[in-house]
Amino acid sequence: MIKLVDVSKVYSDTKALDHLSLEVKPNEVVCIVGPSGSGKSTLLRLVNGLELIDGGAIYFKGQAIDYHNSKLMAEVRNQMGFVFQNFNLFPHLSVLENLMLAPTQVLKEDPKVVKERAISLLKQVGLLDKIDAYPNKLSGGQKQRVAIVRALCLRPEVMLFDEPTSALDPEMVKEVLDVMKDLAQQGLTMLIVTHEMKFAQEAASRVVFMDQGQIVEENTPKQFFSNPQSDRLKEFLSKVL
Amino acid sequence: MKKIIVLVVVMLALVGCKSQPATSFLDELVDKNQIIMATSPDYPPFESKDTNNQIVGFDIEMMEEVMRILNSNNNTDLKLVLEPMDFELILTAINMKQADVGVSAFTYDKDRQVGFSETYVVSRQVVIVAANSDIKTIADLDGKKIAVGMGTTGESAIEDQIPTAVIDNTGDYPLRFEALEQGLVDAVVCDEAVGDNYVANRGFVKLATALIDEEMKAIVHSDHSLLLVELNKAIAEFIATDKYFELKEKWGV
Amino acid sequence: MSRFFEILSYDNIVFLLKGAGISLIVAIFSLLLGLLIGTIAASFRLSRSRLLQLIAKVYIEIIRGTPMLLQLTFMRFAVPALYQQITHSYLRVDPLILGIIAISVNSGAYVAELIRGAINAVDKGQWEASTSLNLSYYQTLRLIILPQAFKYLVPSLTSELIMLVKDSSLISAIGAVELMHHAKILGVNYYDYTTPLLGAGVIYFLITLIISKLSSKLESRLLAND
Repeated sequence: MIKLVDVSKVYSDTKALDHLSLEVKPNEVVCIVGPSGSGKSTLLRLVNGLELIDGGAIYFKGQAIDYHNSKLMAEVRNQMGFVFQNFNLFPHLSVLENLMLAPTQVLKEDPKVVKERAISLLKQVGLLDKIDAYPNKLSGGQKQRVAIVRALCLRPEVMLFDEPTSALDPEMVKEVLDVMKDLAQQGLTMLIVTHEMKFAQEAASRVVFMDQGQIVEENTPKQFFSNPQSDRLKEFLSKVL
Repeated sequence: MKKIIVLVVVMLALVGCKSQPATSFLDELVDKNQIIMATSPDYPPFESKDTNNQIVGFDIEMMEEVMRILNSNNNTDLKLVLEPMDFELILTAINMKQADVGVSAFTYDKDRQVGFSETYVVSRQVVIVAANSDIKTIADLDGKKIAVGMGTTGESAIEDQIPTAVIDNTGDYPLRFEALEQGLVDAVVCDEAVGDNYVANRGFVKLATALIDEEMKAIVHSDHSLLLVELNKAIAEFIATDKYFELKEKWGV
Repeated sequence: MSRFFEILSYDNIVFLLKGAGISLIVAIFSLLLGLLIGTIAASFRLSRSRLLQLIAKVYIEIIRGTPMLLQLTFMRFAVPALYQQITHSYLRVDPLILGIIAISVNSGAYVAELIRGAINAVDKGQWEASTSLNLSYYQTLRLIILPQAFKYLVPSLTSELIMLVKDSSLISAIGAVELMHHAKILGVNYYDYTTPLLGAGVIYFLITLIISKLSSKLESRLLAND
């Protein structure tokens, strides 16, 4: 579904991504792990067009993404959902309004239909009782679950997660990971940057290790964690597990 | 600063200005249904506003009479419309053809590039000083600070007769008399009728000798010769009437 | 001083207050119009189009670089003059309307910078979330950013409104009537300008005091939702 081919991104003099290639197939859950500064978030943001690539190309469903064509970009973005580390909910809108905004304003869908979808999604994550609450009344875990649902309301084919639990207090991490596990089981294609190794072990189809802008190793979770090949990965795993 | 605006705006106005020869004075008017009179109503008894925001004064009533005569002479029904503005802007308005006539205690000044009507009232520029002032004659004004209107004949008279005086032409007449009261200026120069009122109401003193005798005239655009002819006819007729003397008495002019 | 109460009689104070009413109307309308103009200018300034950015920059620089009195006087003469050039007929615009327009145009330039600052104060994450949800630039501004920027604007808009109340006194230069002008009329009729000016000063002060108090209340209400 998503293919990065030889992608590079440069900031000032540092190479955030260095001729990187990665493929995410439909229904796959790909987890990217690695030390800070390895370029994991940058990769995700490049796919969504929040930043522009300096070299190489990114393909979505076989077509190269043209980041300068806003119409085509919009069509691509419609099929990708993005979840931020800091949730980025709209504080001046209620939970329901947060969810309904994009489908009604961008996709011009019928509000009644969207509302029903929003309600059923909130039910799935167990937050239906918060439907009219404002973000400032929600806990971090609740906010992130709402953020996930907000992205899902557009019915994307791919969901991108940028360290979704890194800003949460430890006791709230589980509720978010549970939601993500559910989505994985439903067969949603997901590309996740995370530090949660246990989650990667349990839910990923494939785990990718990045360091200094390059993919060092990628494998099935079983192989990745019990049988690391490269030294750098061995070193990394010894520190985090 | 206002002079710069005048320059810029007049230049704009002159660009592409086509003038056709007028056959009747009506063609010279800004709007054929009315005569627009620019005036600065802060100068009683010539023109001022009362507490109902109505513009009143000798100049106003005089022009109303003049209009009556002009209308009857020409079988017209022109309305007199008053356009209040700062005194310094009246010349601009006339030259930019945004008003037909300027009546605001104007007196003849060769430097003003406008058409002057016949005299409608005689006046003098006088010097007003504070009650306890040492200044008794024009000569005593040497080197003193004098408040006077910008671009007025009083200002020119001071420049001619008392070159050493320091002229303050900021603000407006109400402010100038306050400045005199506060001792910020040593004297105020203005029309006699105006000065007399301040003398009566604020206890100022008028110097015995006037600076200059003057004749009050209306001003029009220098091209509007036909309008000027009609205006002058009406003014001449008016001066001969009893109403003229009544008005002069009424306003102390 | 003995004439103090004669000049500041009940009727005359009412007369001054009527002028104050007009000053307030001018200030409020100019603020609202200025807000509209300023929002448009700010969005031009922040847009990706070089042309729109340039238009906004030129407008803002010229207005902020010239005195309001000059802008007012210019509008009073230049607008009818240009109209005359084009249509060869006379346009008389009520000086009050001209004054409001001129002051709004002036206010718009300052408000544009205030809005730009307030927009920049909104968390960048809001822009990113909107982009990823596929909202257009203008949708994002309108639905997400500006509503949040607004609460940052209240204190600065209050200062702007107070400035406008004071600046409204300038329209008397082009023949419009407001509080300063009413004070002058009293000054001319009573041959005493100081006393009416004192009265007008007190009224201006009270108006700005009330505006400040109301704005503090509004600010605390808006921040409650944070």
